[in-house]
Amino acid sequence: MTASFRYVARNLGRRRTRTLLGALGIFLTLSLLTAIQIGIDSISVSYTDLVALQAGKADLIITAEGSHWLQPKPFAPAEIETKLKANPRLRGVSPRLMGIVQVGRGDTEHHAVLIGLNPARERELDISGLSPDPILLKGTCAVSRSLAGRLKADKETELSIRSSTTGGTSAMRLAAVIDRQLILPQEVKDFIVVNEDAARSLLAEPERVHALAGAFRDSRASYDARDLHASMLRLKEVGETIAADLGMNYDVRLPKAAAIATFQHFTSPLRAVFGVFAVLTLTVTGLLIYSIISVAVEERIREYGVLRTLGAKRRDIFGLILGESVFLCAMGVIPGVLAGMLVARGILGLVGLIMHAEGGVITLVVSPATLWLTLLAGAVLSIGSAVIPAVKASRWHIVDALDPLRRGQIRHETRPEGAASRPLLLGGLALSALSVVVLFILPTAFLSGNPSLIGTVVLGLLLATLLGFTLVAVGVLPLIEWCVMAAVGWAFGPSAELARRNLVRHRRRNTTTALMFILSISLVIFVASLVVLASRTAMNMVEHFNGADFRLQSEFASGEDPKSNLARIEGVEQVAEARFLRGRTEQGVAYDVVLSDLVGMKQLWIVPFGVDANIGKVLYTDRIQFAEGGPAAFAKLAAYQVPAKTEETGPAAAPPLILSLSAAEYLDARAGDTVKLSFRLGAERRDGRFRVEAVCGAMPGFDNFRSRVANAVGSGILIPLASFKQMTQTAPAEAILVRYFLKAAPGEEIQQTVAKRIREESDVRYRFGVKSSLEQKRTAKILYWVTQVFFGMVLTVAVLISVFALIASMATAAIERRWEIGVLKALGLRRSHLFRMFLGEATVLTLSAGIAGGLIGFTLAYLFALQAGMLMEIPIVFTMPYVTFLATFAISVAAGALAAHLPTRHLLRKPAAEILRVEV
Amino acid sequence: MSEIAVQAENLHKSYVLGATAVGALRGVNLTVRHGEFVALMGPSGCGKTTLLNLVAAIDLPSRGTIQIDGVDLSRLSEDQLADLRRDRIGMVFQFYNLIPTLTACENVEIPMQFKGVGRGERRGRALALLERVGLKDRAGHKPSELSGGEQQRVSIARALANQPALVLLDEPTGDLDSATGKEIIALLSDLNEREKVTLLIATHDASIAEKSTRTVRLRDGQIESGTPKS
Repeated sequence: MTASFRYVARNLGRRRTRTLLGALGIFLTLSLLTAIQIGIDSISVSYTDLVALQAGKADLIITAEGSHWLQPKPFAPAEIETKLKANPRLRGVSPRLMGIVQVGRGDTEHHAVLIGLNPARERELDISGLSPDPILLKGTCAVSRSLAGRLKADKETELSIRSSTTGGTSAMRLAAVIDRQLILPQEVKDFIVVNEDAARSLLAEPERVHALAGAFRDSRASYDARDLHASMLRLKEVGETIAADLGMNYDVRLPKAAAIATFQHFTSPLRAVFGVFAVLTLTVTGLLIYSIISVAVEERIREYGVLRTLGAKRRDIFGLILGESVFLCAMGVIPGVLAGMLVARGILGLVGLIMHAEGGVITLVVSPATLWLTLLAGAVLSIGSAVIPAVKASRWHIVDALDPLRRGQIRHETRPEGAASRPLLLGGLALSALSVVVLFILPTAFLSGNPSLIGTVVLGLLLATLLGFTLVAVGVLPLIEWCVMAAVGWAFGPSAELARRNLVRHRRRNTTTALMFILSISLVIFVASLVVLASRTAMNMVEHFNGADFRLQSEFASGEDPKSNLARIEGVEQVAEARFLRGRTEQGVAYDVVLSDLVGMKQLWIVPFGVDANIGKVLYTDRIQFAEGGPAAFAKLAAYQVPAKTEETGPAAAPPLILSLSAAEYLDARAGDTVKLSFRLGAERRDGRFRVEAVCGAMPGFDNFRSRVANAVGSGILIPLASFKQMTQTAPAEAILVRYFLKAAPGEEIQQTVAKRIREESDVRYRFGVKSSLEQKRTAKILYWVTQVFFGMVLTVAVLISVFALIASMATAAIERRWEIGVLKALGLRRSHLFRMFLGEATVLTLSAGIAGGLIGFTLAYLFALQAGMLMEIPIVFTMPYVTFLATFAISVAAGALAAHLPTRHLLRKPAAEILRVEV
Repeated sequence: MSEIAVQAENLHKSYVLGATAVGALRGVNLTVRHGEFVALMGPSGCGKTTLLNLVAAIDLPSRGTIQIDGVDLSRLSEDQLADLRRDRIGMVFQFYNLIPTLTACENVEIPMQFKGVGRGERRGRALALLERVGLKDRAGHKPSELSGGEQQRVSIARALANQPALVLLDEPTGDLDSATGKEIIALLSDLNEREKVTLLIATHDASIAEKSTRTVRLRDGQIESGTPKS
């Protein structure tokens, strides 16, 4: 064993450059993969600590059934507290009260949400959702920074608080300004916090509460980051036990557990993506090792023949070659894993510094599983890459191995009778495997609803497609090389012909290099295309979902008319209103609307929107996808008036309707057809006939306008507001939801001002969620740049590895062709011509592989985007990532030049005799 | 051990080279007794190396049989052939074929390593063999640090590592100058006379033939004559 180890070690030492290149390639790959894996692990673990920043510290929140922070329902806590006292998992609960109040200072008064709580109890249970955590003595309060700014109030300022509902008043001294709250939705900017007694007095609730916030015993153990899924199941069980105990009248929520479940939902597909990226990177590195070992074996085939004459068996040769690969990989794997840990520590430290300002920290977690996984990856890499060269070397006939002139010339074996046809077997196996995945595994994955499983299967198929395209590209590479040589061959002078012939002669060995490069470039272009696509799609999706400059949706119907108030805001040009029905009221009354043809052959449950005359002026009409009809349909909707019924008039003309494409296809309805709408409101039913004026595949602001028949159920229609009101006359106010679309004057500053004023004047009072297209596009842009930077870094490393692999491959090729170089020099070829010969070969190879890889990556991204757009029914605008494409070209050319120069620079300087001297 | 070291009967060897079938050996019969020093001579392409390769069990005949020490090679499995090469046959090549990354001593140790000889014993025997060929003081040198003659001596020492019944040499002086070649021939002659090492040498070198006990001449894949020395 020691002698074999010595032999292997000395062989690696003999070719130091090649060994270094191989080890460095593995080092880069393993350090990158280790760093990413550690990063994901650390974030997952730390997330359980950071989740409180988003969901609040309370482990559970108990409210009355149907209670909402806008309309909180009070309940008596005594019964619940008694029941919960016996629960061994619960440490305790703390009361919370909520309501809408007006906070004033001098002549200024603003609406705000009141939060009443017991600060001491919350501190005791460590569930305070406020930062900083106020003390709240008698007669003091804390307000949000936004409200403080509006009131121009500082600490010690005297404020007056008045409840809109009870009329209760109170004067308080401002004790603290709150920067962050985790009790209400984050859109709520104006809030005031008082102690429990003050809240009870203001809200006239001497005994009841609006919520109970609770803490689990041993919180740390409940959120076990090593197995988030099991942790969530345990917490869910606890929550369900409590909910079952309390009965149907109460809602129990686990905000932190829900946040972690959402996080897991997000990280699972991320892990699947990382898995695919890891497989691809390891494949490229594996090809590098294969290339290095192949050439090493080729160099030493005679040596192996000699060893066999001395008594070595085939398996001894096989073992020596595998041992060399394992040794080589170990030189890269172990330092790579260590470097990955250091890199992860560095990056997480940086992130932690940034996050520390937010009160959080990310702990570096290096799990044994990660270390084992990376070591296993290294082992598979080392053994997998060397198996084929080792098998080939051990199968050489001794006489052929000893005599280079005989190699490959003499046929020794004929295929024995009964031997299988390998290409047919492999082809058949590949097709069968693919069919099994598509027929059985894919539907099962989609039906499971598990995003991680779906993501893994889809990404696996994507990978298979990528590999398939790559193999096709390698197959047609000679043609591409021919074209590239025809285009750029002139640059290499008389050496171009030599380069062309060498490309043909060394086709087999260049295949590995080409494969590496094509895989890497296609991955880079694919990811870059998707990143550009995602950013553009994100912008389009903002306009698609919002529909207009602003979209406001009221959760609860209000007796007031906010539309005219909104229209009065400076900067607002138009306001449009759309009304629709809630599916079911609090009392459980169902509201269904069914669309059918006039003979009732087909019926479809839909969601109708009653829109006013301004809708066509406010929406982003360029985003509307008309399948039939056009913008004139909006004019008809605007112009429609419900006719007065008299005895003299005949049947009224059917009101106009804009139908979604999916519904139209389902019902086989076209523009000009008349359809029947049936409003079923509990026991009541109202039917009406409508005329289809237009059919649309997409309608901005109304995301249920869909184009695929499979999504027809629940799709949307637009009818005149007057018709909608007529059809829903008997529906209670609480059943109607209202959506407002605002068009603002152009200009970023004006739109920002409008957003601010809407929130200031209308937010709490009208209980709106305000969505500003400008603000959301800004967020999308920031996200775009962040993902660009992140993916740019990752892809740079991927490209570096492939360039590296290319240089290593060309270096080994140069070594292999020493003799040829020596002979050419002896025949009189100049150094410059020799260099241009290598340059020509390398550049044509890399350019061809780069073109092939770019086309594959782009095609794959386009197909992926097309499919995603079809499945998700989101507007996809695909753009070629020109910058990345050009950069890839430039990298290909540079890589080719480097690959030609670096390995040959010493060799070409040597005299021919020195090169030709037989190596003993 | 039988008296006969090598018994080849009706040996034929053909190659398919491209589209042509080449008959390298055509019905060769050869007997070599233990202790003999046999020189195989003939023009280039007559089949000397082919015959040597078949006797060395590194190639298989198209037809005919070979027995080494009474063992029919056609009945042996591949592993058994490897063991035979390790234990009973030593081979010396024209271009030495030493492992360049190993020292002279380590090269000599290789066959013993495959046999499983312990490190200490291996090292002792290797040094003794190197001393026998006059290179003990060069034991720690790599092949690139040795002259052609020295490398060939190391190759001979390696061939003797497991005390084989038979040593086969293919043009051992082909790559050496005449003076060095003479030294090698003298060494081989000495090995044969003193230690009764059976030698079968394929060569163009007439001085080897002079030292041999028998010369076998080949032409066009057949034995032309096999004159013993008087």
